[in-house]
Amino acid sequence: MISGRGGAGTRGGRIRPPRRIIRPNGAGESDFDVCWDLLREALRDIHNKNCSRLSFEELYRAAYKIVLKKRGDDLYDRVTKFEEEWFSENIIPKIQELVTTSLVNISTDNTVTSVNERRQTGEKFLKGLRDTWEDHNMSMNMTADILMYLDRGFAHNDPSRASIFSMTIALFRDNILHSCLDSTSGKRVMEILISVMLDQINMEREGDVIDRTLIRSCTRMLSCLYKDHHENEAEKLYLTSFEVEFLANSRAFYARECEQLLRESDAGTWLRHTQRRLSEEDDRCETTIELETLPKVSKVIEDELIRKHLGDFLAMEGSGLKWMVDNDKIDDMSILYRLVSRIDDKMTALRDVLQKRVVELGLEIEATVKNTDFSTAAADGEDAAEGEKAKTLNPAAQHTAAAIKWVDDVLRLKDKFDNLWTACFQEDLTIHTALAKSFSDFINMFSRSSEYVSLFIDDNLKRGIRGKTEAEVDAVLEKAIILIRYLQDRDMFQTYYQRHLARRLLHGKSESHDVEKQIISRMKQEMGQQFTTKFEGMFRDLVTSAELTSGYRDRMSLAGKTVDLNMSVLTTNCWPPEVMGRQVQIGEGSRVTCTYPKEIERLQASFEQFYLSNRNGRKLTWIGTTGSADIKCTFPAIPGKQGTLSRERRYEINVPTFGMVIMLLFNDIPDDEWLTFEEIQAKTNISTQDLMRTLTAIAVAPKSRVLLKDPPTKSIKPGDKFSFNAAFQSRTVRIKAPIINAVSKVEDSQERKATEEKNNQDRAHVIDAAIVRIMKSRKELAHSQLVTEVISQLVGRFKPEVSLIKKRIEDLIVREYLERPEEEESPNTYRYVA
Amino acid sequence: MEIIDRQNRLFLNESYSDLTILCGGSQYKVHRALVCTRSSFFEAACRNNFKVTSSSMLIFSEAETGEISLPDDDPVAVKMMIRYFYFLDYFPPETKAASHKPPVYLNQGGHGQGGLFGAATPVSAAQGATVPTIFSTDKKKTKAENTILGNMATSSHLVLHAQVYALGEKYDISGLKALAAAKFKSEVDLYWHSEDFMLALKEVYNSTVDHDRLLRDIVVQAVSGHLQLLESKAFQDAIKGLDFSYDLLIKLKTGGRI
Repeated sequence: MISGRGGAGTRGGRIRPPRRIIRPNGAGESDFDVCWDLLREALRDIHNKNCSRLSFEELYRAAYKIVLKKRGDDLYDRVTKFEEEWFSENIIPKIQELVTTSLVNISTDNTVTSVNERRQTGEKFLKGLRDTWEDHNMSMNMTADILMYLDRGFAHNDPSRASIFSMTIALFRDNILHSCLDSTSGKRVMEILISVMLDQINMEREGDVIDRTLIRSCTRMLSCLYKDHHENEAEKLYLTSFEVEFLANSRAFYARECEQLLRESDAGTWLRHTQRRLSEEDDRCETTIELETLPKVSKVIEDELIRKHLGDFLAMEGSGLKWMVDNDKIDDMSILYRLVSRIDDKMTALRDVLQKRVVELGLEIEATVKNTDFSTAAADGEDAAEGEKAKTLNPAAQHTAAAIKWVDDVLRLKDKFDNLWTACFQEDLTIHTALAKSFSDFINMFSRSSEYVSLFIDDNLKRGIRGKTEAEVDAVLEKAIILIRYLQDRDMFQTYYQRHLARRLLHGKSESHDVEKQIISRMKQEMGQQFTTKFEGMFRDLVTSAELTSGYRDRMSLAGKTVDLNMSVLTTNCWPPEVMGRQVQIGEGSRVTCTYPKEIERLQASFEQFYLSNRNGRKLTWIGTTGSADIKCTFPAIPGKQGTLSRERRYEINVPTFGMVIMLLFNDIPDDEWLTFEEIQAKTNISTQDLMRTLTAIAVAPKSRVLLKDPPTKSIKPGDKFSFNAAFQSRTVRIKAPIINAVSKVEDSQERKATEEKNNQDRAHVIDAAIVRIMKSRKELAHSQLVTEVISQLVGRFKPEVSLIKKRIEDLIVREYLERPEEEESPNTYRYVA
Repeated sequence: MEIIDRQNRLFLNESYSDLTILCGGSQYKVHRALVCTRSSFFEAACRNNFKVTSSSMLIFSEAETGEISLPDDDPVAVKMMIRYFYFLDYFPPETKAASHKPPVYLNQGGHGQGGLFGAATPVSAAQGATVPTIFSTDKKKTKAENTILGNMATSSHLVLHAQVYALGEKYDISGLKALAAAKFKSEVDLYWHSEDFMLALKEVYNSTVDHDRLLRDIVVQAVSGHLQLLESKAFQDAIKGLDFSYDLLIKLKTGGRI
């Protein structure tokens, strides 16, 4: 006894000095034996689950004493020996019984027995093992409690000794799991255990119902045991033995499954199957095995079911991504997105297919439009042969319709993909960028996109927005802006828009000036002030013109005259060159001026005087091509005719300015005299093209045929003769002669070439300016740097071609803005010449 | 300090008690929530999370009955330990020195910590005189005349502190060990020459394992500072057969003194 206090109570409550406890060795020895006997019996009782008669304090004290007597190592060894003997006598035989031949067969060949049989055999084994484990675990917990002081007082100070608990618990590993209980196969219990567990899991994957709790007990057991006595968390048996096998097994299983899917199913099935498998494994890790395996097994599925054959599934004919896109398979694509985002946050595979499809569909739209073009192109050819006639409007309108169809289709495509983007791709930014790029790509691949977009806006502003609510108009504007955003050659678009806007404004075709201004302000937001300066200038011109007109009228009425003259004074730079007569001449081309009749000249002189009285030094050019005039026309009664023709008829006819000039010619000649085309041209000096156009309006158009034509064909040719159509009649008093030029139509190839040439010229100037600006600030710059800077400066307006930039640099060197430095070491450098 | 107040109230109140500690005829009604969280011994003793089937019991008798008996430990030291559970401190009962006998007797009955030990209730009439009384009013203070080493009278608690320290080690209460060691050290400086010190030295070397150095180092340090102790026959007898001799030798050697 170490600190016996037996008599303390009878000593009157006084503390005695402790008794001498140093005893002869023999006594210590027997002390130890007494204590050990007590403990050994207790261990046995614990194993037999019969310990309510045991006093914890007594046992604890026994162990404490032994340690205090420095016999801890003996106790430790005896406990070890006791447990080992217990295993071999009581536990191993029980396990041995469970290891049957059919059980061993599961791990080697699972085709021999039926699934049901296999499951039952497996479960029996697992249950037996689990029960043994749980008994052992519980016993060892209690043993460890009793021997707590052995740990603290002895094992902790001896690094070669594990704690009692880990030592005894590891006995299970060494004596059961690592033992070989089946001599024929030579398999260790651990191998059998794992293959049985995997077999059960595979059964569940195949649709069977298994005892998940049982499997979980086994994984828990493996989680409690370690590879060796260091008890390193990373070396749990669960991780080192089971998980490795489990992952390999899963990999094989899913690889096989994926091959099968690839052979037998379509992409939709694959998607759903993979999704289901993912959630199954998720569930499995929650309920059947350990949660820490989840990321690893998910990765296995991602590898085997998704990554490996992603391309194959996406490319599947009749169910792949292309098919999904075309058939708006929202669900499929949502799943697809989720799956792909697991393996690749850049979505490469998905993105590539989508991009390819966008471009394909875009080009399809173009092809469709081209086909429409084809039918009208034939008409165009005929057109050229027969000259212009009333019907030529139709092909032109068809042309325009094609443009509008193209834009509509593109917008529909855009809507479609926007919708997919929101519904399926969780508004993923990478995909958004990729789609935007593809749209931009195919739109810019189509050489007429700028023109078509402008035509689309033109059409909407002329007719499309009629009767629409503000919100609808807003939607249209938004679409227009989206398209403009995609355009690369914004300068081209600017040119077309300017041209179309001019026509709308001058011919009064615009539906709403408010909407016009709105769209311009949106463009301003989107593309910057520079882009819209000219458009704004055009509107300004119209406002000042209205003021001028009323001012002029007031002046005239002061002088006692009534003059009905509407002026549009246009600033040269803001309006398109062809309106201003600055167009590059094609062949004979058109001229803006002509020889005006005397009375008109007087009127012009009067206005010029008024205008210049306030504004010195300005020059006014009269543009005949865009204006119009109201002419009061009297047609004589025709004798011998019935109805309206028998009376004198007065009409007010609105004709183009040139039409007025021509009609006034017939005032000076007798009604039945004819004038040839050439005579008219000689007297008026109108260009052939304009003259043909104007004559079409007044001698061919059925509702305004105030002139007779000989021969009475439908197109005007040089050599035709014209005379006053005395028999003209109309149901209305006011007649409007069609303005042949007023319809904004798609350019024919010649016009287009002209526009492009013109545009290239403009670009040349813009590039010149950019180069000079850059060189002025940098003084000296290498060639490649200069090119890069120029491109980056101009990217908002258009994408300049490198060859063009090169040419401009050469040109600037010739014109001595730049020079190549003399020094040898920098052959590719330019220097700014101040 | 409300929490101290609460614990004080709990200490006096057995109605919420769920564990009884029996020692030396005393019975302490304590609370598992406090006791088990401070000591892994009591925690394990009360552990009751094992499966109990109809045929087999997997809990120890203590957990079943809610009583833990500590027959082998010193009753006063146990009382100190229990006080520590509630107040994280303990005060030895006031010494009533025996008027004639050399060994210092620690008075168990009367003390000045009125009420703090009152939870210990009498269990046996036979022990009447030694049973701690509740709210003791004994205020007598008598100086013990101790002449063992021919010096001034002493009344130290060195032995008690060593015993409490041993309890801290045995039942895994690290805070108690540190506290007892500190109290021990401060008394060693005053009473190194008393007989108590010799008794305490033996207690230290017999009640703890040799790698538990805290008290051992204090003792060795004290003796190495007062080597004249070795001249006393009583001291020589006391240290005979203890690891102390070895420790002292090594201490002197490393100190370069021999």
